[in-house]
Amino acid sequence: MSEQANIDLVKKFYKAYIQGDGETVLSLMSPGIEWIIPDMPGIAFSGTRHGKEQLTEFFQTVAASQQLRRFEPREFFAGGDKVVVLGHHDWTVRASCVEFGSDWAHTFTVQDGAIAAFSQMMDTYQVVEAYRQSGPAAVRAPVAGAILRPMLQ
Amino acid sequence: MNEQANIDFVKQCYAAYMAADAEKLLSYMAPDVEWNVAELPNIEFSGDRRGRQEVGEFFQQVAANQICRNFEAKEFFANGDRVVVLGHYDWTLRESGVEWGCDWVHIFTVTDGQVASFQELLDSYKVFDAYRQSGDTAVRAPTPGDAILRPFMH
Repeated sequence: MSEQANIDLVKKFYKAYIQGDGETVLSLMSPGIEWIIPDMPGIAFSGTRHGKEQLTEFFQTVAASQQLRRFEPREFFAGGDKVVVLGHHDWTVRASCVEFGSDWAHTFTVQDGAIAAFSQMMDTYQVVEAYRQSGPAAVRAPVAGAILRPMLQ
Repeated sequence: MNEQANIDFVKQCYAAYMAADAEKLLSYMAPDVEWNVAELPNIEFSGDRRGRQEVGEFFQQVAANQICRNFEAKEFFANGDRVVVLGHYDWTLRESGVEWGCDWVHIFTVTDGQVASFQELLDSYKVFDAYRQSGDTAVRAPTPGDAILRPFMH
């Protein structure tokens, strides 16, 4: 795929994510998707996931634990099979209402028209600190039901 | 400048950094360069800076506190006046020997052949935790004899 086609695929992912359309999100991923979030102590949804099943559980855990207030992909860069996106997000921890946010960079690898790898770099200290303030029960187990509900109240 | 020229310029910045050529590195910065690094408690080289002098101090503070064991600028992307670089570094705290490292993302704005802004995204918890493990005395102020840059010196 061309670099522009790769950017379009990534934009499709963000659109589905923001709409809470889990089925479309997962349909854009390779079966062997590698999903990399930095390891953070006390954060169940940190670390690396492999495959759509683990990714589904990741999204469910994130959505159960925190509510998205703002999510903005701002700038797109492409080179070869990679797409890098710069953006910003703001979250509220559901259990405590503690708020955190930071700029982020997402790196996608696109292969055969699907997202084969994703990694997120963000201000991890802000996440660890928000959950430390919120207490040990703040990271919640995934709930059955919606795969994605980041914008839901 | 075109996008490839901006990438080549940013590569020159890294070459000056790795050669510890502070004079050259600072000459690549706009006089009022914006320098954005995540704010972290008890890490004096964290937080935002403005202008060459403050950026020079930033490099002095980093070099006074930690030794760079490994610094790799791996992938370069450009769009308009922006250049994004993906890389990795590994550091050792001088005071305690505690090691930390992570992938990073550097974001440059290049205007009139100079760095107008720089932002670093890194796994900020890793650096916070390394200094937390090292205790209160680990963060040192630069001393007058410190070279502006000596990231690779032991």
